[in-house]
Amino acid sequence: MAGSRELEEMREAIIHCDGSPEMMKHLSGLLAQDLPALNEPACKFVLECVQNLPVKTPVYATLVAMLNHGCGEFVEEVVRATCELLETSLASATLDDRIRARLLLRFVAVWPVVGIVSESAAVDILDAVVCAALDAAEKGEPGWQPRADYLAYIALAALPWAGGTLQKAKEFDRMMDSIEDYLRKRRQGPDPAAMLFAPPAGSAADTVDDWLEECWGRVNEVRKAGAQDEASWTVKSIPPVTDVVTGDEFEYAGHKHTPPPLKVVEMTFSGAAEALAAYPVRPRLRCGNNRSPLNSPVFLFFFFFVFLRKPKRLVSSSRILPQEQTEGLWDAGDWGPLERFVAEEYIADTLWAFEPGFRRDATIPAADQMGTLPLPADHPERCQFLVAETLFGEMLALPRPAHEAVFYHIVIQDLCQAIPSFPKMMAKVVGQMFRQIGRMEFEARERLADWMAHHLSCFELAWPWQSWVHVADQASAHPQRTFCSSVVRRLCRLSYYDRVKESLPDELHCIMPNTPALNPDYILETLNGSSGALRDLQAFMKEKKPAAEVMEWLKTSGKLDALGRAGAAKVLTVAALQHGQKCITHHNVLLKRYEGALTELTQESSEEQGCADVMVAAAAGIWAGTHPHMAVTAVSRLLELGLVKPADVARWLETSISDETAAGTDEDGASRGVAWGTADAWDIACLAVETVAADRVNREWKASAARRKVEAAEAQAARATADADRAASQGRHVDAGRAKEAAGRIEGKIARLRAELDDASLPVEHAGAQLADAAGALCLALVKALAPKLADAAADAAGPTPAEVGADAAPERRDQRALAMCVAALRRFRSYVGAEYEGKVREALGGASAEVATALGEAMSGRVGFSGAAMIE
Amino acid sequence: MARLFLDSEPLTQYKDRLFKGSMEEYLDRLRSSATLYVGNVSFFTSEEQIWSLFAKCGVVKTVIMGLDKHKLTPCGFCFVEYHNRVDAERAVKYLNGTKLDDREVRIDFDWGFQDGRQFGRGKSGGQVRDEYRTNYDAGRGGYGVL
Repeated sequence: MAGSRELEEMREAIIHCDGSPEMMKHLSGLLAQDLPALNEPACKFVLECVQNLPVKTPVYATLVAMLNHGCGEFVEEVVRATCELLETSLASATLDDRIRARLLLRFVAVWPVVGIVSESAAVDILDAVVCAALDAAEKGEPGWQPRADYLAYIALAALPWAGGTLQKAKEFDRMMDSIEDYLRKRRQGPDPAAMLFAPPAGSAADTVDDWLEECWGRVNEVRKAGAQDEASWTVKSIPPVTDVVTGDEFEYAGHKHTPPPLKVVEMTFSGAAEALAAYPVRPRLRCGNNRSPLNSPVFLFFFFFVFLRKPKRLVSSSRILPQEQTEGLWDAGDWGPLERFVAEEYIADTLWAFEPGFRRDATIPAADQMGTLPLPADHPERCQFLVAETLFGEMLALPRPAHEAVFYHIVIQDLCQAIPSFPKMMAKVVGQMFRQIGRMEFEARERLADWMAHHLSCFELAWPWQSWVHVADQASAHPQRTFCSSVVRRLCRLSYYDRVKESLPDELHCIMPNTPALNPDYILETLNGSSGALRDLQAFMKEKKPAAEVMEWLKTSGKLDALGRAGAAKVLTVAALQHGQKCITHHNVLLKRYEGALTELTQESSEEQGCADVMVAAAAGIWAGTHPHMAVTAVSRLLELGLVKPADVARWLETSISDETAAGTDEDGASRGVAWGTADAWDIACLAVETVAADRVNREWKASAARRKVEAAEAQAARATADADRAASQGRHVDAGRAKEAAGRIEGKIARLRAELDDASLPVEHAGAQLADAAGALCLALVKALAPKLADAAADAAGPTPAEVGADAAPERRDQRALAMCVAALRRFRSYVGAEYEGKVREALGGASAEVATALGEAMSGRVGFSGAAMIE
Repeated sequence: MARLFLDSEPLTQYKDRLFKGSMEEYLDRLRSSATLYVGNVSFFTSEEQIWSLFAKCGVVKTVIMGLDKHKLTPCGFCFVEYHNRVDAERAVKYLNGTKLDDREVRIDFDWGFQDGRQFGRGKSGGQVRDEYRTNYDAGRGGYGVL
């Protein structure tokens, strides 16, 4: 019986297997000696490696195949366990399970290449997945498409690793036809709100293919060529398995195993929004390729052949970087269409596999792995462009990237430090994105600005600003100029104002924000409207008068009656924040000091409505437009102290949007409070919802931590009881007695822990409902206030992209920006909102113009859930 | 692959001497805390800069600047509290060792803020590490105090 030490060594050996012929032979020899006894642990280790070392799938498949000859049961066990794990992963929609299922299916696809199973068996498994997608399409439950797209995608994604072999199976063509059939049934472009870039200048949205069609196009190209010549399936990034073992050793008279049939579980969703949140589209930093075959420079001589067969031609017309720079033009002998596909898979999978682990002690940080991917060595520059483009694509993925954006920031920083030529490539990609920033989605722009500010602040603010000096001459609402000022504003948050100013060339000093200060216009306005109360309150602040006395004074001096509760609350908030303007802690202290008075003034009573949104307006207004960050921070302090709820933020947004357009403010609008369309309003809205989301995560974590403790204690108790029984049967009564006592103590602890678990589990549901309320109220408020006003902007957005998107683009109008922000907000909160609020939002869109309803409805539910004004069932 | 080695990663290299309780309890608190200790911060870094950096990992509940006991000015460390443990882990995973205000900061789990812990424990008022430092550090008051 092997001890735990031997098991550890076996595990280490399997993990560090590098795929070279000597090591494979050595390792398979060693394992063959241990195997019949240690089938289960060895199988567990191999599967662990297949899931967590995504680049080495062929290596592990070969290892297993080399053991097929002598240890057939082990391979049987691997086959069975893989299929079981695959079924479990397909039954869940978390990120981990989605990626795990894809990696396991890839492993399954490689089996025929190494001779563990027959080609037909592997194709049958892939086919089962595709049929599940087709079934979902037939049934047409609400929100069926995102998961079905995912299923079709993982089947396609497994093919580059094994296509040449699988094509020999007779069921292969039938499976590919099923996929093509599915592509016809699905709605193209399922999530228009998640397109990073608007279609290329002059073309409309429905002339470009979407992510699944692009994947299909690449695989299909290679399949058509592969029908004549198997070598066209070669992908340089995937080392061919026959390199490792040659000749007779590979001819396993060994038994081809039969995997059990795969059952793909059906999943239902309460609505399209939930489905899209569970299965987001695959990110890519290009908006798609034109479907017209006429633009094809490479395959022009196939034009008629292709035209007659209605192809999906892949062409470089709408990429960020030209195709030659990132993957070549698919000439013979050069990279094929699958090269880039495989490289993107590698990058995404490596980022996922190496994300956990604490930075300082992480065994192999993600960036090191990225630098050593097995990408083809013949074009190192191309690889770097590809990595840069893919990383940015992942980081800017909408609605949310797979990991927090800051993870990608760190990976890019580490890569810049590790590879000397990488910063230049990365800067080129950024420059190209900057040139097309007019086409870029609002939230993507903000995320890119955030990245850039963080990156620059870690590299001493060094950036070739000279190449962007032309923005100084542009109008202030020009997309490029707004992007630059956004970057600079965030830099001022992370670094010092003067330092940032020094780092910019003189011509660009005009995009610097104002020196951070309070908004004098707002204070003046409050002063004039307060009938002298503001001056008195400012004096009280200096004397540090407590809240109860201030409240007393307000009532007795008649100011409360003169101003009304809302007015008094506004004046008090302005006075407190003005006194505490120095830093965030002062804000905190003052708001806490006057918490009692503010609550009394703004809470809902039987006679009057609550007016906490007045406080939000004051906190935001006092810093509006004159400070890069404090408006958001002041509102966050109000939220933390519980003075203000997310519903109040929603109400504030609704009133501020309706008021400003009613009052007919000027284009700038900055001094009149925080307009929807400014970055502050966006940050405040996100903050209100994310705070509630963070609370929910907290409750869930506590509940799961309590559950883990209970399980650990139960395991301990079971062990103690087993010890007691064993001691008793051996006649060691004293030991048995002691073990029984220990078991008794643990039982007591378990009872206490179970009570804790019950306490922790109750609030989780409630927290979920609170989150749905917060997000739903915000979305509803935005839709109600904005839908009547955005008809023109929506009509523009639905039309073809304007021809000029670079330096000569037209400045954006305020209503266009407001529409973009509203779409971004709906898309961002769609995973929190829940079916009930989704329905309410759709109802609210009933009265709006067709384009507005489409734009906002699709932002909420995707094209798969919303078509025109009707709900798709 | 990082998942394959998660069990062997140590939780912390530091035990707070003023914590009243066993090592087991201390580690237990660290495993469930959402508060972080941030060290090697410059004396001139503002609260806002700390806020902006840590807001990238989640919604920050509060930031408490570490103060010199006598002068009541920032003395180069702070506590950052998030709403939940997941965000705190993210900050330690991603931002530990990266730059804040041009200095590499050290981020660690903290067992929980209590009033009084925001003051430096050195005899001169600042942090103990600044007393014995022999190199010149412009952002932390020059040479060591002792």
